[in-house]
Amino acid sequence: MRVLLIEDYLPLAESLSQGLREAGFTVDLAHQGADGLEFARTSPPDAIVLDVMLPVLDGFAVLQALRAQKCLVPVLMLTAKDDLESRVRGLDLGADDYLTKPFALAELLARLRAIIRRRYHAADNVIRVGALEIDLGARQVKRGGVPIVLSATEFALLEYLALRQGQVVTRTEIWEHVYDFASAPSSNVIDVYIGYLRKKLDHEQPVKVIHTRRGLGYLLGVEP
Amino acid sequence: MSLRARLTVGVVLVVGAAITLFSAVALLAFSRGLTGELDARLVADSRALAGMVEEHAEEPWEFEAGGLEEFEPGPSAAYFEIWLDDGTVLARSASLGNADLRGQAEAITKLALPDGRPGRLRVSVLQPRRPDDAPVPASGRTLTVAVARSTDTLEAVLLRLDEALLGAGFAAMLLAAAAATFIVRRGLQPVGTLARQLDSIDAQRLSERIDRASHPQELRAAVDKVNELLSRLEAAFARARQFNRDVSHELRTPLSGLKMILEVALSKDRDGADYRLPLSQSLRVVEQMGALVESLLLLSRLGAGQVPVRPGRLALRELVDECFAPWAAQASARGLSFENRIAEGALVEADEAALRMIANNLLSNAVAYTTAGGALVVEGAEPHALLRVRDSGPTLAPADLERVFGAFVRLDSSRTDTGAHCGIGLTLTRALGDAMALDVSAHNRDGWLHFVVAPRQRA
Repeated sequence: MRVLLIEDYLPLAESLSQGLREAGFTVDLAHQGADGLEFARTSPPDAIVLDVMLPVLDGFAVLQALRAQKCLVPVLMLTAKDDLESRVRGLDLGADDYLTKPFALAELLARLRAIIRRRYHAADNVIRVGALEIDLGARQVKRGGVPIVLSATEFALLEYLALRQGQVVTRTEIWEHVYDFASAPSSNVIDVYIGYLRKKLDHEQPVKVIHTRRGLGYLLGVEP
Repeated sequence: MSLRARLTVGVVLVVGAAITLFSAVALLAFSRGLTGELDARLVADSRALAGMVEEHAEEPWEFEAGGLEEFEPGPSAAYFEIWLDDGTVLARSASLGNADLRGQAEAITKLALPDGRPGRLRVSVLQPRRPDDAPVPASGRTLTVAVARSTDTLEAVLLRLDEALLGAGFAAMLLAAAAATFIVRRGLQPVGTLARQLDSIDAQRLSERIDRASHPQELRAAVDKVNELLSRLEAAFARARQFNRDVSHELRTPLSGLKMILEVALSKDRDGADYRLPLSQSLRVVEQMGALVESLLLLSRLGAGQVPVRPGRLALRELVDECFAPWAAQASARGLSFENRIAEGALVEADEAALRMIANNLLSNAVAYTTAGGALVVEGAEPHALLRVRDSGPTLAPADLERVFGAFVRLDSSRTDTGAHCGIGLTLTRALGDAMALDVSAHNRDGWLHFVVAPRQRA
């Protein structure tokens, strides 16, 4: 999942982006509102973590500009102010959630997963595709109750496919939303990782969950 | 002693003094009146007694006594004695017995009567009565008539009057004390009401005001003053609350950074070397927080007048150069030119540490906020500007020229970016100026932004 972090305070911005990356997110970091808007326009993220107190263009103005551009990416606002007025203003402008500084990384990750889940209409953290069970919170995968060990990149790819289960996901979408691929030398790497996933999830299974739609992309689901 | 007790005692004392004075005057007037009446009676008695003596040319003078029951011996007897001008006694009252009535002629004197009672004596020199048909002219000889009467009735009346006045006075005093207590209590009720109203206003209810219309005229001035005081208190409390909120917000940002650095560092096992970066990042954040806390502490001590000012003569040009040195690299990285126009050898009178902090804050702000490629000029040691730091802009909106000196005011709403500018630099600069009776102000002039430190003009 791609997260855009817009935060001007360097110690927080750097450590938080590291924490997000280590939690499996791919992170774009902007220190100013205008840069953040540009990131959101050129490579739409799955969620935006937006600080309220930003130089020049503050968080509320950024949020307003995003919504004015019909960008419906879920936004989690961060602020040092915990007054009701600020919270109401942020939510009214279209923020999906609100966290007051200082906050715990675990809480931010949980809230981020929740707003991303809502975006993809997933009811809870555990997504089931036939006998396959993907726990987004615990980052664990089981098939028929048997745990399957995945690498971080494999899990990130599966997570994105799972959130969009039943839909055809294009290579470009995978390229834009999934960890690491943006820095990979060629798009062929996506096919390679799909291959790894197939081997771990579908090998010797009567019912396959990963399907190729030639010329379109991939689909996670149980076909009748 | 309470106001109520003081007023009550005061009223009772005044009433007591008035009653005493009134009683004394009344007693004196009565005493004079009664004595005057007795004296008039003595004079009348003397005339009547003289009228009872008939002058004869040849025969001895004759005293025709009659109707003189009062002068008979008895418990309330009066006394008289009549002498001829040769000193022989012509007549004397039976009540006198062997006693004698001598006294100063034509005067009234006090005396002890022969029966021991106190009395008054009138001695008069009078003409005897001459028969209407006297053949020869009057001899011209006179009589000396002495009459004495007891004053015990008079004294008894005065004593009774004295007792009556004393009783009435005492009763009046008691009544006055009761009335004073009641009236003072009633009169002071608005003070009690005001005290209760004030008592109900605590730190949470400072927006309340005392209704002046519900208090008597005399208390309205005090009510107005109390309301003014409440307004000032409310504003001070609001400022203090806002300051506390601002401080906690200011600390939240670095605190959130610190917490995140440590949480991420601890989120999984890492090699020893991988902990170096988060540790050094944490140290930087802690240093920023420390600097902020130190600034806040200094601000608070300046506000409380606890920072001693030790003025000395300072070489201003050198001081400015020294203060600029730490920012020179940043200035040159931003393409800013710097010119120190203070005259060589210029001396100013100021506290060195405070002036250094002021110069440092103004220079670091100018280096941080002047548009890249701009210019910085420092002047000073002038009659109207001890120090002037100006830059080529951007200038400030007129409303912001004063606002920038407020605590935690950042004109672009950013909190701490890198943490170098914590938002109280100019507040501290102004407070340092205040401590040295220097005014620190911001002005836009010809496209330049000026920060001026000037000696305070006496109002």
